[in-house]
Amino acid sequence: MATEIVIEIFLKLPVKFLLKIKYVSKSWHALISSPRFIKYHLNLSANYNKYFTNHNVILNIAQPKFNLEDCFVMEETDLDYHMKNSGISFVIEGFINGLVCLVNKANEIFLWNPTIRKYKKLPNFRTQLKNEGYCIYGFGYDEIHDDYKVMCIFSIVGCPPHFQEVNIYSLKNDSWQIIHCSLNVIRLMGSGKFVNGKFYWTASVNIISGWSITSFNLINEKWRKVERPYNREESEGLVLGVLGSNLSAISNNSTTHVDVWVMEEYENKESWIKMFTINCALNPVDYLFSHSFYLSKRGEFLFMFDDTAMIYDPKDNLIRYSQTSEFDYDLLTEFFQSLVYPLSQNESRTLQE
Amino acid sequence: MSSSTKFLTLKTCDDKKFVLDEAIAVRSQTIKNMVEDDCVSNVIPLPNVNSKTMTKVIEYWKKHSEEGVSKDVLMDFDKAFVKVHHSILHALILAANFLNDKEILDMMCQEVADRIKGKTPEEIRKEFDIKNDFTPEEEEEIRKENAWAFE
Repeated sequence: MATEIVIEIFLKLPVKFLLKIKYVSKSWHALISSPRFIKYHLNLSANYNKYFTNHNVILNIAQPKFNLEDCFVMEETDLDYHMKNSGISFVIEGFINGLVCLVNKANEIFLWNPTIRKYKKLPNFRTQLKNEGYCIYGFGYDEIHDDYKVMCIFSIVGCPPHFQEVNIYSLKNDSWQIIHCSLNVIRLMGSGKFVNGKFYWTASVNIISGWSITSFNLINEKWRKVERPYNREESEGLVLGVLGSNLSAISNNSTTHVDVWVMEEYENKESWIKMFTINCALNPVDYLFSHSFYLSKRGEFLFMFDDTAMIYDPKDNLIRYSQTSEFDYDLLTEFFQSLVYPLSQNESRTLQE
Repeated sequence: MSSSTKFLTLKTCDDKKFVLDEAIAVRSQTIKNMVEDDCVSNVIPLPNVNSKTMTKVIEYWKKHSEEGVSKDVLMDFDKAFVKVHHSILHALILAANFLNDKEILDMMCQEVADRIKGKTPEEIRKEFDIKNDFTPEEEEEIRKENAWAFE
């Protein structure tokens, strides 16, 4: 059978099964491992949203003794992990193209593909300073250079002068670079949300001024202040997320309801559209420190805070709460399965040979 | 183009002729290109397709060109259509590929995928008539690397 037809058939198979049939023959092995096929498969998976064939949700369990073994993928619970027994708690900082960026308490960063069970520990940077400040992360994909990048904004706040430094890791080169930028020292919140080649963070200059949104363009490495969604007045709370392929935000300007927004226009001037208003009494503290929400296949809006998952159905305007008594679900990540290897260019070459 | 119905004659590799409404035949991108490039003489030869396969393809084309046919009817038709012996399935894939009919190709590839899902590599080799060209050592190594996928 012609290779192009075999590819068509392969693209309709689950990733786990593709790994299994890799050793049917040398030519199948070479085909499934080839960067061209991996890319083709990735593009298709990414655009195949309507069928969700390779889509899953990862729940991150934020327990002190959390390790990757406990981190499971909904609807595909049989995934097991290579990073067992690490014994260190991890935080998911971002996900793209089937890769997940994890950071542990020791500030070690990992890129991990749970589907093919491959991970890469990133080299350290600024070890001598790391203990004195804190890092804010972002994980994105540079389409122009076909490169995965991790952004780390290292800050020391407190006694002036404040110190802030932006480091970018390139998977292709397997190295960190400090970039010069015009970012005034501001406080960024949570991990960067990556949409359309840009990272977005909620930011505040000081506590009184409230929250705004700042973006960083991965291609031209420029920072920009982004219009935030407004109701009648500037809302107090603002949490960013990604719904589908759009940047989204939840905000409240009262204790009785929460608004869910999506950003539709990205160039020039941003425009926010209110998706729905959820009538629920939510303590602002609850949701400012929760940073995950998600739209399920059935169109339900899931929102995690503390040990509770709020599930809102816009169709009938009903809210359900699901208490997760055993674990403290902290982060909800939507991702799809891919064959992408978290490897640098040199490592890929070695693997191909 | 004139409004009256035009007919095309298709000739399969076993010398059988099929006379078909042009409007239906152009579901094949290959035939459509030939018609548009005006390189259609009397008979269009299909050297890669046999008559048995072509009959199936035309059956599909006609059903999907029927006026006012409901989605449910088409779904049931498709379901029955793909239930064929794997030799016919493979022949249909090759024909759809040659005729450049994405719809049939996609449906047939999906059917093959559904059929091999859950099969062992040995069973797949048999179905696709593929020779195992790995040495036992190489096979063991790849198996080890992805052992979890076999659980």
